[in-house]
Amino acid sequence: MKIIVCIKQVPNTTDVRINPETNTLIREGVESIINPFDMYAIEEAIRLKERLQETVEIQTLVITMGPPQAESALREALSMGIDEAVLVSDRAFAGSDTWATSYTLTEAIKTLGDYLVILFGKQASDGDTAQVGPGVAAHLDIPQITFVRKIEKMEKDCIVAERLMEYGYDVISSPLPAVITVVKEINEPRLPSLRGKMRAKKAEIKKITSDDINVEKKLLGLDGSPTIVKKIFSPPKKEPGRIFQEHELEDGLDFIVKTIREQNII
Amino acid sequence: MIIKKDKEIIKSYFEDNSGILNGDADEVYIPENMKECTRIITELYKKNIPITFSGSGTGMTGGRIPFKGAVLSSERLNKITLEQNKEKVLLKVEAGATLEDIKSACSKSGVFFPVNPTEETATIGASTSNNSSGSWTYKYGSFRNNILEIDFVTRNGVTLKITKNSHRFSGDSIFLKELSDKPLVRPMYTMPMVKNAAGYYSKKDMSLLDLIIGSEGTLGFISSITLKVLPMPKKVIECIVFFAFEKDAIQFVNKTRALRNTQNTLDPRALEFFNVNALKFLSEHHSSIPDNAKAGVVFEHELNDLSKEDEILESLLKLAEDCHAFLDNIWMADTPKRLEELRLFRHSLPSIVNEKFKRKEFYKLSTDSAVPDECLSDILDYYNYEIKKSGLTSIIFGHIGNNHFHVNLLAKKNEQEKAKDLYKKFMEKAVSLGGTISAEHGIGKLKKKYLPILYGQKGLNEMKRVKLYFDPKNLFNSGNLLDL
Ligand SMILES: Cc1cc2nc3c(=O)[nH]c(=O)nc-3n(C[C@H](O)[C@H](O)[C@H](O)COP(=O)(O)OP(=O)(O)OC[C@H]3O[C@@H](n4cnc5c(N)ncnc54)[C@H](O)[C@@H]3O)c2cc1C
Ligand SMILES: Cc1cc2nc3c(=O)[nH]c(=O)nc-3n(C[C@H](O)[C@H](O)[C@H](O)COP(=O)(O)OP(=O)(O)OC[C@H]3O[C@@H](n4cnc5c(N)ncnc54)[C@H](O)[C@@H]3O)c2cc1C
Repeated sequence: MKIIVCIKQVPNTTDVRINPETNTLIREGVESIINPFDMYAIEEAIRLKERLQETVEIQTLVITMGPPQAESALREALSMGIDEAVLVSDRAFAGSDTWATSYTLTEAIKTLGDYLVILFGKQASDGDTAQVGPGVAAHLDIPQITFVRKIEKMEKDCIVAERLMEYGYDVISSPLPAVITVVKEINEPRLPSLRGKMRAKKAEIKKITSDDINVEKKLLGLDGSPTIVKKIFSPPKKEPGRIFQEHELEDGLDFIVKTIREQNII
Repeated sequence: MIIKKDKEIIKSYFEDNSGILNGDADEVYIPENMKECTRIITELYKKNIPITFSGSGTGMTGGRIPFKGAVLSSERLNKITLEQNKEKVLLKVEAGATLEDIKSACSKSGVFFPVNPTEETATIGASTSNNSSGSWTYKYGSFRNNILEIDFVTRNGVTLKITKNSHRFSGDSIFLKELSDKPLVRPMYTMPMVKNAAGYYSKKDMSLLDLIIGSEGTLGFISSITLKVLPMPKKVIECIVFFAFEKDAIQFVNKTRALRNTQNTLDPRALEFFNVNALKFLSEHHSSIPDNAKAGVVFEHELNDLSKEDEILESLLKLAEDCHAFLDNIWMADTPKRLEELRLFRHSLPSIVNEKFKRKEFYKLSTDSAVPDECLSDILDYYNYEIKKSGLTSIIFGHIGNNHFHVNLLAKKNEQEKAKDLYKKFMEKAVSLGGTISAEHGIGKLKKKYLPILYGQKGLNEMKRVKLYFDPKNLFNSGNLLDL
C-alpha cells in the first residue's frame, strides 16, 4: 500500500520579486524550495508509515508535476525519508492551471497502484489557490479532508482527522482512500539526514510523460486550462494605519473627524 | 564632528552586555572623518581627559563602559572599500563598519571574510581590538589571523600604518620613534598555546600588529583595518551528529582533528558542541532532537570541488559510525534555506537560556576558557564532575574544535556565591592545563581580577609597562585589563 504526497517546487517566498515591465516572476538567483506546506505533508507521510508499519506494509511516494529541475525537490523529499519519487514532466503540461494540474496529476496517480491516502499541502506559496488537492479528489472521485491539523486515527480502510476551522476544529471520519491537505499545526518537519541525502543522490526517479498516462491531449497544459492568468503584479503598497495611544485620545478623535470630513464620507 | 552631552541621550553609551551599570562620562564625540578623529584624540589627550572607545556595545566584559571623561564613538567611521589587487581582493574598512556591513559588501563580490562572530552588529574596530572569533575559527583562526593591515592612532595624533612586517620586534623589543626614544619591551610571559583573547599578545620577534590586535583599546585607537577575504565556497554542508554518550562526541572530534593532520578529505571549518542539558533546553522548542541524545556535534564543511562531495559524506558517515553516533539521525543541510534553518536552531540556545533565566530571576555566569587539544576530555570531565558536586544547573556548549566552551552556570539567588567560586575554579583549572581564562570575549573590566591566574602579578606588571609606553597618562580605555 502506498502513501502518496504531492509536492510543488516554488521560489523561496521571501525572495519573490516581480519584474514590473514584463509582469513575470524574476527567477534568476532565486532559490527553489519545496512548497513550505508540502514539508508538513512529507513529514506526516513518514510518520504515518512509522505508525502503520506493524499492521500494513507501506511505501511512501512523492510526486510532482513540473519542469525537469523539479527533480531536486523530489530528491530533498527522499533525503527526509520518503521511499520513492515520481516526476511528471512534459512540454505538453506547460501552462497548466489548477484544473489541468489536477487532471494530469490524477491520471499519473492512477498509474501508481493502490494507495491509502494522498497528502497535499494546504496551498502553494506562489499560486496560492489551494485547489489542486480538492481537484485531484474530485477527478478521482474519492473523499477529501482539507486543512488537517491532526490525524487521530488511521487504519487500513478508515481515517479520523481534525480539520482546522477559524474557531476550533471539526473531527471528521472518512473511508479510505482519501485526499488529505495539511496545515502547519500538524507536525514539525524533520531535517534531511546524512544517510537520506546519500541515498537520495543515487536514487532513481521515475519519469512520467504525457505518453505514459491515459489522457486526452487537448485537456493538457495551456490548451486544457480554462483559467488564463491575464496579469501578475505587485499590489500597490498600503499606507500604514495610524495608531493613537490612550493619552492621545483627543488628537485621535480630532484626526478621525477631520479625515472623514476631508474625504466627504459623511 | 557630532558632540553629545545630554546625559539622557548619552547614557546608552554606558552599557554593553556585561551587566556593569555604573558607567558615566561627560560627553560623546562622534567624528565623521579620520582627520576629526585624530584631532580629537590628540586634543583630549593633551587636556588629560580619559577617552573610552566605543563600538556597537555588544561587548561582554564592560570594555566600552566609561567611568569618567569622554567617549569616542566610531559609529560614523564606516566606509568600506573592496579593492581588486592583482589576483587578490582586499577589503579595507573603517573602525565603525559592522560585520553585517562587510558581509553584504563581500557577498556582492563573491568573497567572504572568514571570521564569523555571532553578533553581527559588532564593529570591526572593536572586534580587532578584542581579537574576536567565531565558529569558523577552528579552520581560519581569529581576527588576528585574518588582518593584513591596520591604521593605529596614537596619543600624539600620529597614525601608524602597521602590517605583519612593517613593525617587527627584534627579539624582545622594538623602537617606535614616533612615541619614545626608548625601546618598547614585550611582556616576558609565555602565552598559552590555545585560542586566546586574554591580555597582551607576546612572543619573541613578534609583529607590533599582533600586540595591537587584542589590546582592547588600552594602547590607542584602531581607525581602519584591511581584512583578508576568500572566494566564497561553491557549497557548504552542515551536519549535526548526535551521540548517546559525551565521550563518543569527544572521540568524534579528536578523530576529525587527527584526520586533518594526516590527509585532507575531511577538513571542516567548524566543530561545535551541545551537551546533554543544552540539548534538553533546545528540545523544548525542537521536537526532532533524538530522545536519548546526550551530546551533539555540529560539523560544517566547505566544498570547492563538487566532485569531492560523496567522498566527504562517506568519510563523515564512517567516522560517525566509528564513534557510535545515531547514524539514522544525522541532520544535514546543504541548501541556503536549510543552512539558515540550522543556523537559527544553533543560535536559539542562548536566547532560550536568557529568556528562561531572566523570567525566573536566575543569575548566569558564562565561562570562556579554551584548553589545549589533548586536554579536551579532561576539561569536560572536570566541568561535569564539579557541576554535579555543586548541584548547580548548567549547560555547556561552544567551540569544541578549539576546546573552547561556554559553561553557563545558572544559579538561584542563594547559589550565587557557589556559582562564582565554581566559575573561578574553572578558570584556574583551564590555566593549569595550559589554557586561558578567555578565548574570545576578552577581559575588559569584568574579568581583570582573574587575569593574575593566567600571568601572575609579574606578568601584569609587564603588561603595565607596555600600557604606559603607549599611554603614559592612563587615559585610553582606562580600567580595561589593568588597574594602574
Ligand atoms: C508565476 C505563475 C504563473 C502562472 N501562469 C499560469 C498560466 O499562464 N496559465 C495558467 O493556466 N495557470 C498559470 N499559473 C497557475 C499554475 O498553474 C498553478 O500554480 C498550479 O496549477 C498549481 O496551483 P497552485 O499553485 O494554486 O497550487 P495549490 O492548489 O495552492 O496547491 C495545493 C497543493 O497541491 C499540490 N500541488 C500543487 N501543484 C502541484 C504540482 N505541480 N505537482 C504536484 N503537486 C502539486 C501541493 O501539495 C500543494 O501544496 C501560474 C502560476 C504562477 C505561480
Ligand atoms: C549575542 C552575542 C553574541 C556574541 N558572539 C560573539 C562571538 O561569537 N565571538 C566573539 O568573539 N564575540 C562575541 N560577542 C561579543 C562581542 O560581540 C564582541 O566582543 C565584539 O567585538 C564587540 O563589538 P562592539 O562593536 O559591540 O564593541 P563594544 O562593545 O562597543 O566595544 C568592545 C571593546 O572594544 C573597544 N573598542 C571599540 N572600538 C575600538 C577601536 N576602534 N579601537 C580600539 N578599541 C576599540 C571598546 O573600548 C571596548 O573595550 C557576542 C556578543 C553578543 C551580545
